[in-house]
Amino acid sequence: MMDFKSIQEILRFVSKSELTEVEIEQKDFKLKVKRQLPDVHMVQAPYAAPALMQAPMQAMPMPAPVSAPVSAPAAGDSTSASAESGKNLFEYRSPIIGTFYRASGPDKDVFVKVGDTVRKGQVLCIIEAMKLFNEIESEVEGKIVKILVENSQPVEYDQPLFLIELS
Amino acid sequence: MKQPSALFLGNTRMEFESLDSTNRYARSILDSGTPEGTLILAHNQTAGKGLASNTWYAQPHKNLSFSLILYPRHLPGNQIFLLTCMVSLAMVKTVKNFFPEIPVQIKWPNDILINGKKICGILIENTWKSNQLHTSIIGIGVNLNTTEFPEELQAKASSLFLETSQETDSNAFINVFCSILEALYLQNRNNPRSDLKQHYLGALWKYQEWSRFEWDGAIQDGMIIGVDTGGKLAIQTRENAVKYFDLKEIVYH
Repeated sequence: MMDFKSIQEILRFVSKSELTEVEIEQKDFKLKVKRQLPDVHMVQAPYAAPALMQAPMQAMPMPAPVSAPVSAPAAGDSTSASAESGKNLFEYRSPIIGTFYRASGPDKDVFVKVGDTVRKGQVLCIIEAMKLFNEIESEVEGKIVKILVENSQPVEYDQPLFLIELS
Repeated sequence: MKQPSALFLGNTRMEFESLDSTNRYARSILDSGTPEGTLILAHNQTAGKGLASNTWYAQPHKNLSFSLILYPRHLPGNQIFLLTCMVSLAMVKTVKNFFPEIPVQIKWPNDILINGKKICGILIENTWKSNQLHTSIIGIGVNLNTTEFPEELQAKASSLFLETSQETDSNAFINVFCSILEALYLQNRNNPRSDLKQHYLGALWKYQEWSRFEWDGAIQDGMIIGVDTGGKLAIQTRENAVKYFDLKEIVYH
């Protein structure tokens, strides 16, 4: 297992390079970094912070994080509020394509709102995919800092849904 | 009739005279070490969940309402539509097991039809942990021995009894369904490349037939030629293009 510092170094390396995808595999550890290149005419703009992809699906000796906690970098990406820089933020990403719902029905209370403290296993949202209803549970403990998607909007795989300040 | 028995699906059974929703009950016992395959059966379901406001119409003791708890943790996140495939296919095969001649089909994505009328609804609710599918609650409502429907439903809904003039024993029906679903489930777990989706397509209503649909605000001809990994419906147009549709983007005519 790599330490956090080496992972940060890899991220820095990728963000400075032309690479869009890097995969590193060791005996019991696999890291995949993917980055979306900005539009061609925006090449001069600062790159978005590279995103950590999820660990592989196979059974592993350690719990698979959805996305590793990120210390919001100074030149942070535009979706994470820069005011939060320095705090230990966790970007909760969608595990599937579908439609994002904040409550289990139109007349129901939302699962979570900004400012709420969530615990592990608490339901954050439902993502509906072709009549399959998916309750997404939090795997971290912390405070909801930002909800990045509007209710009943389509979400892509790996799209950031919540910013959670880890406690 | 020969009664196959399942290894684990339906072996633990909880039977209720009345429940608001078997899926809701299943959800409430998920975290207490409930074994995989547990079946929750209600003779009268008072608030069966359907999509949004479509509550499932049920005659006590005439309809079959049950939920099964599965732990399909082998399924990659982008393959969950296979759950829909295996459950709908299991229902088609179960009906054919009792009535080999009956024209039973799947209306995409997961309604079960006989002669164009709905006889069974499926509602699958999953929970996710750490970016991985954790549990799956398979909710099934079958119009088994229903003798009548309210007038406003008669054109759209029917029952196995109304279509065959025969009563079906609910326990026998559940047992056959469990063993067929279990076989499909284990097949997929042992061999993810199995031809589950091909069989699903083979049972799909209007598959590879020119039919009338409505999309982009116009009624037009199209032919269902498949579903993509995420479950979107692939339609070939008269212009020989292939379009992919989400649920709300297309209507059958």
